[in-house]
Amino acid sequence: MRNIFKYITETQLWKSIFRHDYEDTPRNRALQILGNVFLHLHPARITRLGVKLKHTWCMGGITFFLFIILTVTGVLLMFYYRPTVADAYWDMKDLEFTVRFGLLLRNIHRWAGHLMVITIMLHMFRVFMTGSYKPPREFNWVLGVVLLVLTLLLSFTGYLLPWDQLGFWAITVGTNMARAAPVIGHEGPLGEIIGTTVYNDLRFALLGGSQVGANALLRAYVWHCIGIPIIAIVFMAVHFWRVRKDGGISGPL
Amino acid sequence: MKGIFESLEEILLSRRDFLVKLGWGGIISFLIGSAIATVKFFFPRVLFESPARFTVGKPEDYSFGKVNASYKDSHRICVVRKEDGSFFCVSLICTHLGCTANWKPSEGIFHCPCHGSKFDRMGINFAGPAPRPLDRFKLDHTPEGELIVDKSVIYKGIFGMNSDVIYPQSLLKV
Ligand code: HEM
Ligand code: FES
Repeated sequence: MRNIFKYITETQLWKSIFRHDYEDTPRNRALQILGNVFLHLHPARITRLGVKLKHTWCMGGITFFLFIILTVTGVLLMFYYRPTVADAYWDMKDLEFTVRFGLLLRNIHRWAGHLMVITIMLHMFRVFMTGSYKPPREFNWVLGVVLLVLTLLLSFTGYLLPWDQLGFWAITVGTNMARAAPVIGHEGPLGEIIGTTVYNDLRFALLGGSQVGANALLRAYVWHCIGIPIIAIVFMAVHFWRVRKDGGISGPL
Repeated sequence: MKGIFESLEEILLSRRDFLVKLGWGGIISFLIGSAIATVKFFFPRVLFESPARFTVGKPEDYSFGKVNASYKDSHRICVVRKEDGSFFCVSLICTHLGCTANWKPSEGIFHCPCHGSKFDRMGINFAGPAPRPLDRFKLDHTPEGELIVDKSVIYKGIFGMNSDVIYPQSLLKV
């Protein structure tokens, strides 16, 4: 057994992929982090407090974990779901009643979505309570606010996709709030003066029409499955990178 | 001659600087142009929404003093015939955040299911978060004597006002 393992890890193929051996030295451990495209975002060394559950609650980590779950289950859902007025609702029903493990899949996606909103807020709360938003970490707080908004938008766009009464009216109500945005909303301050109407304001661009309809469903789908996740991934990469660059997880004040 | 060239060199860019500025200028104007095009792209030019003008039957189909909700699902409106026989068309789009208010014949009110706003049979808000009365749409008749609604002409409900008084043109006398 040992020999086989040794043989494999000494082949040129293996060594071309994994540059460091497993010898457990501090230097090697740091190199393993630095030499890995995914792990290099992570600090090579962290303070003792950084791994303490009582300090971080691991809430940022859990939020990221939920994001991964949502990505995987979301891609699976896409194999059965069609974002059209005629199909969307019935595809959800098919997922629940005819697709193997479809009900489980749909529920994992839904619960993880709800949970992510909760954990991101707890993460924000913990960062606030530990004072970790203070210099040099101010910018990571700003990135965090962007991530919070993106998470809420993911929640919001996903809400319309089942195309049921709940989602339909929630999106009607939610996008009507955009009407009241200054200048770019037709009922907001200055809107009427510069000539914004139901047919050229922010809400119109979001819905692709003057009411929630086929275009709105398709737009919500594309933003939910492609647009916002890509933007969120970029922000998350920078967020993690900044944790490292700002000196790792914050220590006691 | 030499003097002129020397002072020209001070004003003019070198070939290198000129090309660098030209290159960056091109890239930046391309990016700005693409950004504008992308924003415009999100505003569709052709919509497949229900038409703004549609007929709603003949005046005889409506009884005096009744609110007719048969066009609620298709067009989100009610046609109201008052006791004096005149008509108006009320929009069911709740003035709070846009759900469809339902006509409740037993209570004689419009009731929005989303956050509970209530409007009387004239469309005037009296309970819940709705900030103003329901809007009205223009009602007219076709040469064939049918009633026709024009949703592109909106008589906007104004807080504390009776639309009968401020928009006499919203009432159709037959
Ligand atoms: C998609 C959402 C987010 C993800 C996946 C995420 C992930 C993470 C992770 C993994 C950490 C390392 C420490 C920990 O686990 O607590 C972290 C740290 C941090 N996060 Fe977030 N985060 C998110 C949103 C936010 C929000 C909403 C804020 C605040 C507005 C924020 C501000 C910060 C700050 C300032 C740090 C550094 C904390 C320290 O060094 O102690 N993040 N984040
Ligand atoms: S949308 Fe009607 S009460 Fe809120």
